[in-house]
Amino acid sequence: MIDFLTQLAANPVVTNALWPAFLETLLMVGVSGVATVVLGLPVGVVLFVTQPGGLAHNRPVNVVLGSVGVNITRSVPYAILMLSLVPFTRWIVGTSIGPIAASVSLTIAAVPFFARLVEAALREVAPGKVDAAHAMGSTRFQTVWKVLLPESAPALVAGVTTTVVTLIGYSAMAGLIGGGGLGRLAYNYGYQRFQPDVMVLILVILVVLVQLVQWAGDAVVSKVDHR
Amino acid sequence: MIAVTDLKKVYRQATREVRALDGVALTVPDNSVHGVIGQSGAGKSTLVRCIALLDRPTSGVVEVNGTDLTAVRSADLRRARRRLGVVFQHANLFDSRTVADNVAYPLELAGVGRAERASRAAELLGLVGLAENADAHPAQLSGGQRQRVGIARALATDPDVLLCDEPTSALDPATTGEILDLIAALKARLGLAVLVITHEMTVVKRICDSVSLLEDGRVVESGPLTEVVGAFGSRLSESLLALPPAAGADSAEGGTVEVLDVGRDGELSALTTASRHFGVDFPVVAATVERLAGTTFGRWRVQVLPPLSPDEVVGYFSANGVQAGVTATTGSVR
Repeated sequence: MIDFLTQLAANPVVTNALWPAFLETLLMVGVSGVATVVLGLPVGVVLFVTQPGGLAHNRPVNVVLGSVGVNITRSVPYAILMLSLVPFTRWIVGTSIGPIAASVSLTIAAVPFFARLVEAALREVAPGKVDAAHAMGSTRFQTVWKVLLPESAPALVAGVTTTVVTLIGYSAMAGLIGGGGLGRLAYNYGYQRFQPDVMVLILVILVVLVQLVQWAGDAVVSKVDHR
Repeated sequence: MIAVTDLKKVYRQATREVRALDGVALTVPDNSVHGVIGQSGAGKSTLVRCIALLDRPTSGVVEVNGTDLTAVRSADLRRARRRLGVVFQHANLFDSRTVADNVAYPLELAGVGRAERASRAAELLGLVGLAENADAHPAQLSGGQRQRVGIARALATDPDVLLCDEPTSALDPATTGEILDLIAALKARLGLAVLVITHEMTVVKRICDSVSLLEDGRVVESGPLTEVVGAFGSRLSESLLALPPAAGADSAEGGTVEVLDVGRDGELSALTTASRHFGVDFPVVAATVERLAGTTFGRWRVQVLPPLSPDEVVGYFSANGVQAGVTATTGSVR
């Protein structure tokens, strides 16, 4: 066991490549995570308010955004989505290599997922609260901004946590086609060069990372949950 | 004051038309409480939603201090809503806000500054007896306390009308009494026109000055409390002066007579007077006495034994200005 650890510590993969790869993973997940929340929150809100009987019910918008936008994107497996988005990524970022480029397909995959979580979170807010907001003379925007979003904050934060964890998983796949990060490291050294110790180490790092994200997310949820 | 005129709400369900409200008219003057009572499915919820403009009525007028809420829209409607406070059955407080911030919410919408909001919220919480709980979150309060916050919030914009939708239906009897007393006290203090929608007779007995009975989307009986209770045989009179269910006594020998005794000076004497007049006893089968809006009401169901006939007794009561009627003539009249 001690031998195993000494060997691992001396392995150039660990000493030279691990830290940059870890930072690349963080960068991919961070950039796509922020972009997903910024884009997905409004999409989720629009899906919720345009549903039949909603605050601003609008069937065409709901159908186009829900069925066409969200459902189609969600039915494409991420491995295929990231490959098919290479030309688009090149057009946006100028290259399809590197963590920033990988963030484009990660964001596009995660936005519909997060938007559905937002929609579900808003649906959990008791309709009586929306009635109360209306009866007191709130505009639709005020109802969303001052009532629906704060009231669903615990579920929204839990949704962000789930999305970030999902992004960590996707980021390993994105690494394979040039995104870099821990996923590529595991593939190149652990798999192709038969270094099971590297593979195990990366697994452990990912497990700890996911645990940390989940723990931080849960801590925020209990902070914002006053029910 | 609030005036509702010919309010109609028709829902279309596939091929069927459902008339949830079929021409409801109500007027509640300032400094008075009007109760709308009805069973489930009578249209109470629809009435509340239409008066609060949470649903748009199919036709009719909802006037709050002269402004027809059904005629104004968007910004004008939002401004007009400030004259109408709504209290909900489950309070519908915002869990993410503190008690004080819940009460301040309508002021926030009205563009009142932070410092003024805080002082007004504190004042309102003092009014409902919750000054200590300003920084608590709704989840930390009891049901009765939550409803007090709901009432404080409804009063934040200094409305003229308070619309209460089943305000005590989710509360235990003791808390119900406290909340009703609070509503009555606030009415007197602020001169509010209060419209209470309920299915509980307690609410009507305890705080209402006038009452309407809603049935199948229509007001079938309406008037000042003393008048409707004093109307012998009316549905509201029979519900508000309910007799024990087992008090049939149809098998009683002779027959039974029901008497509605109104004691304006607090004394009920019709029965003893009649007993002395006829020189017989009237065994009481069932009875109830209530003091409502300052008047004592008694409803007796008494047995009339042969040779005296029930009709004779009713005739005597009528001649003396007491409302009475024969409820049973079964049994062996010789």
